[in-house]
Amino acid sequence: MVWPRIFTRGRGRGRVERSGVGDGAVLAQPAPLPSLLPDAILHRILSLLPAQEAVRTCVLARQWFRLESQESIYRPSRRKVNAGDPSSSWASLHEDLVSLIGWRVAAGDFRDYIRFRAVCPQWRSATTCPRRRGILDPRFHPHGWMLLPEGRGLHPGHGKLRGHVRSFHLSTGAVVRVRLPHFRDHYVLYSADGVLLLQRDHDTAIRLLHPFTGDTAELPPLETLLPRVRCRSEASRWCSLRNICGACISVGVGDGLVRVMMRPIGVWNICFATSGDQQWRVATTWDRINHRSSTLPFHGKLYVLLRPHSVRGENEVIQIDPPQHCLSEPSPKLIAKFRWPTSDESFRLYSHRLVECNSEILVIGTKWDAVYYSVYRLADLMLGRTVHVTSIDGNALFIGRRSLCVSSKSTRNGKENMLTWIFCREPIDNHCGCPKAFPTIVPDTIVMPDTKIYLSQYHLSNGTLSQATDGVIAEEKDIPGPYSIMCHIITCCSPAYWNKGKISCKELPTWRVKKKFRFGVLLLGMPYFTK
Amino acid sequence: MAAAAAEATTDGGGKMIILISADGKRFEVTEAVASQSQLISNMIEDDCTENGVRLPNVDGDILTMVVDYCNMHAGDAAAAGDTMKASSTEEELKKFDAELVQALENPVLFKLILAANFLNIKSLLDMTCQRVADMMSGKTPEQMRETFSIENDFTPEEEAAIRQENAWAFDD
Repeated sequence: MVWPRIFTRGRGRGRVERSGVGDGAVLAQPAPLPSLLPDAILHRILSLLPAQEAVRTCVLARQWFRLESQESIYRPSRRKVNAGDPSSSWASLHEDLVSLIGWRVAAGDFRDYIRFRAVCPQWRSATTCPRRRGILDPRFHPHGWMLLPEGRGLHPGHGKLRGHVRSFHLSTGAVVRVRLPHFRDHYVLYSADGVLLLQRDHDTAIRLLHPFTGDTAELPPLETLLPRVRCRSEASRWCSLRNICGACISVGVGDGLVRVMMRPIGVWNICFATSGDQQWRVATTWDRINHRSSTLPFHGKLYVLLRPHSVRGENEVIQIDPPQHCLSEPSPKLIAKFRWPTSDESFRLYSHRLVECNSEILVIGTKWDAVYYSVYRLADLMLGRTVHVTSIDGNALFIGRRSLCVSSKSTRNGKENMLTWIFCREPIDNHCGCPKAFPTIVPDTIVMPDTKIYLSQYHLSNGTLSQATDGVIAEEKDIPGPYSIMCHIITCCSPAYWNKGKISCKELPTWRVKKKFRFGVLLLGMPYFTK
Repeated sequence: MAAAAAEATTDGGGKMIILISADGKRFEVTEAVASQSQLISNMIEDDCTENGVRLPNVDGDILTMVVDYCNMHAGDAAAAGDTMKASSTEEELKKFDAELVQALENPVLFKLILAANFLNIKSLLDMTCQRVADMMSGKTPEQMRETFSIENDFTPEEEAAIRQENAWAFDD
């Protein structure tokens, strides 16, 4: 017989912390109970309770009478609970329900979750503390948060920043300032779901850092991949190894170890490692990945778009699941095939990239020199349909080496426009005044560096291209600032500038410090924006 | 079992179930509608719904909303085989859910969460919890307390420690 879902309770104050994976973790497995009392009697008992108590007891459903004998039905509160009107008793909401709500808050924005836990002691004790679980529990990954490139070469760890970095949220526009001493001897290679992928200077060890909880995970040195890079000179091998096009983090179900899959541009396959491993390994199963394949991390998996070999060929999207256990390899799966809708012999000039937008994957196709973009949903392509997307729910896509989806809407509680907010904040470095410009991101557009000094925006609804509002980027070298928000965001699309605290420009992004350890992300002479 | 046989049945042949709210209001719903509640579904299995299901901690007005919701979503499961019908009602369902959720405010939302939890209707519980989560978004703890009429009963020292621990999140 099926028992109603019931909540189990921990043992008093020192109850077991929930740390399971997935929503199901909140609700424990129903325990088989002998059905001694008919429901009618149970209901009779329940109906005899005062309303307030019945409301609280009800969450325990049939199990309540068993629990009553073990401990108080209510979580023993160390303070007075708002009694009386149930409308004012949100604080006394059953802890399992608070926890359920908490996970949903965390799914929206990690900062909201931290604030949610600061509302009242009852809510705090009913929700899981993210410390030490920041990386291990993917629900705590601060997705949507991106390290803000300060410009003027103020890379994270620069003396003028005094150990702080700023992060901004791509949907809400919130800007926060965090102290991260790690950047003294690390630099950032990539940001996967808000978790930073760092390289330690002296031994090239890769480390994951949760920027808000300070949790870290240790991965093998990047050096162990050096023999697998397809470049002749050692310098260019290093730089193409330090150029990560996509990385994703997942946690093993059985062993709880952190697994990372990543694709340095110089290794034409997927590299993977588990925390505690001695070296990085390279997948053997898929050898068609090359430097022109677009890679996107999404929900702990990597998606790679492979280009066709010939004009008759088809583009293919593969989904790569992380290795199941320590000895296995990532498992790739072909999920979609599609042909660029043209018989043009110049098909090689076309390129595609994957981008995450509104919790789904979009494919953006364009010709190298074209002023025409087309956007498809991967879900449609998987069904064999090619439907042009003309509206992306008011977001704007910023495309570059990595592509980002940015909300053009004002923050959800309708206060300030994200752009205003980002500029009104005091910069870390007080020598830089507040900029006067308040540019706007236009909804349903694709933003890309187009002409020499302007960003362009392509309007999906009518297929026109225009100059982005206040999207002036420096032509030859990093301009002294201030910068428009668009410049900051487009820089996040170019990791080689982003991690050096430079705003995208034509000057090669090279490290001024610690060249020995961080040297050469861009010696290959690759165009600084791929289109 | 004899009593069950005597219960009213609809033309469609589905057994009718009577739900009785805390304030004595009676709601007659089909078994398909009622069994979206895992609690009632189990009771149906156990054949203990003969004399109506008393729901002593769900008010009449809340139960009205729950029954409306279940009526709307019952078609959902029934039309699973008929894809055309399912897709046409999907839009309506979304609209209905969106309207319901938008209209929810304290303290109805609170009671509805408790009702959804008690009756064990997962989709309704998910929807209402999501509504609460959405109401939290972008707010400071003070604003959250204000929204949900919660008294701040942290001691000043505790509050300071919490803010100290995650200073970045409270820095407005």
